[in-house]
Amino acid sequence: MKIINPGRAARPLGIALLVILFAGAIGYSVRSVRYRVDQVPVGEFVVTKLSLNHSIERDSQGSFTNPYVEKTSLSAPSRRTPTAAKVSGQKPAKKAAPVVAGKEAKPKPTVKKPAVKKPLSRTVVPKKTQPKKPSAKKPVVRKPPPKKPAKKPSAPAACPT
Amino acid sequence: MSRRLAQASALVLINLGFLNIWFSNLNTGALRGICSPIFYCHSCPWATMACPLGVLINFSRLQIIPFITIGILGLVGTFGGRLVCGWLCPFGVLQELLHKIPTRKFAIPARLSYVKYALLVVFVLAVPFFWPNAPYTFCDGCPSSVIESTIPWAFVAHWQVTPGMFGGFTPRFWIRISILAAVVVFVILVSRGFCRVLCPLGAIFSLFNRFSLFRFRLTYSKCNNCGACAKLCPVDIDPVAQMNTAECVRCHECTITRHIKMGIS
Repeated sequence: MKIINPGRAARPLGIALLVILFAGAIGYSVRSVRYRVDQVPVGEFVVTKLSLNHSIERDSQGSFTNPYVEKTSLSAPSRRTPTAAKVSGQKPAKKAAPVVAGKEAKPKPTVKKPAVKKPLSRTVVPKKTQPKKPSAKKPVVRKPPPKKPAKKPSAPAACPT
Repeated sequence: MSRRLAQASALVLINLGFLNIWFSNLNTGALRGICSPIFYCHSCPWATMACPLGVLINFSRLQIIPFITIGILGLVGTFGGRLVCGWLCPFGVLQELLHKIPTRKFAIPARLSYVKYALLVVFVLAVPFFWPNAPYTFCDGCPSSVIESTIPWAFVAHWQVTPGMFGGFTPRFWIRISILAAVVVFVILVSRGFCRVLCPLGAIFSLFNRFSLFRFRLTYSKCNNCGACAKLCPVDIDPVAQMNTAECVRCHECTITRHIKMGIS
């Protein structure tokens, strides 16, 4: 009969747990953690970079600001516009939800739904699905008008790096 | 020899910005958003990555948790404990070189090693957390940053404005220089004095020393308690009695005696 020394077994287990814990911390940060700096959600990587130059501070309300961006009025909008342009072109639904936590999966079905409804609206009941017909064509129409993301000015999730 | 090679490689890798001398378009600042596990100031003009202590202080100041830094330090610590201190840290190399200056050497009481834990808690975590604008964090007195950032930038700044002149040194600059001078004297007299007493990063890694993946093993059949390994140890511990304790910097010096080996166990 083999006797297992609990002292010896505990150490590899502990090491494995620690590795999972620390690797999980990195993964969690990369995937989910976002901080709003001047209303733009950025990842820890960017916050670290900003903090090295003291380019990030907490204001009186507790939110993060970049003091060097605020001082020059021109630089503030210039920093926001490129991210906004990227949002309208690519994934507006994705970027609506995840501000702090990484719940990016929810908006996805809203984009996919109209594509699924296409065959249903055409094949099953045309009268009832009259409002759905234009919705089926939406994916084609959606590209030119970037109004929807503009109306919902929720900040982009992607790290601007 | 392999340790010196590793230390030299680490020094080069952490200073990849020096390549800008030849490749002016090289962007070495891309990695500064990630901390290295090495005690090296990110304000150094050539630094490749961020200093883990600097990141901890800055995040503590912002009152947010540095997940990536904790993860990196934790993984490195779990892998080798203070292996980084003995094999990669440039400030450790400097201490070893300074200690070779022929003067009278001193031993320090083991209790002093607790000072580094106090420094970690107070000047790396607590002070920046509770007083974000207070100028007494560890960075403000860090001797490593004086060498790597304060002195180079002082010269650079003055060369840009008035070439060839070195005026304009502020009182704060001289305070930092005096801290560096005190540490240099301390390190000349006490082997690896900064690592043992003052280094907060060493304090973090020392927490992992007892159970890290890489650790020392003693071959009892070969050991006759001659004390040769204790004489070689730069941090004044007895490797046989205090093997894998928090103070061991994993420098491998004791393995010359052949009855101590390092590996995964």
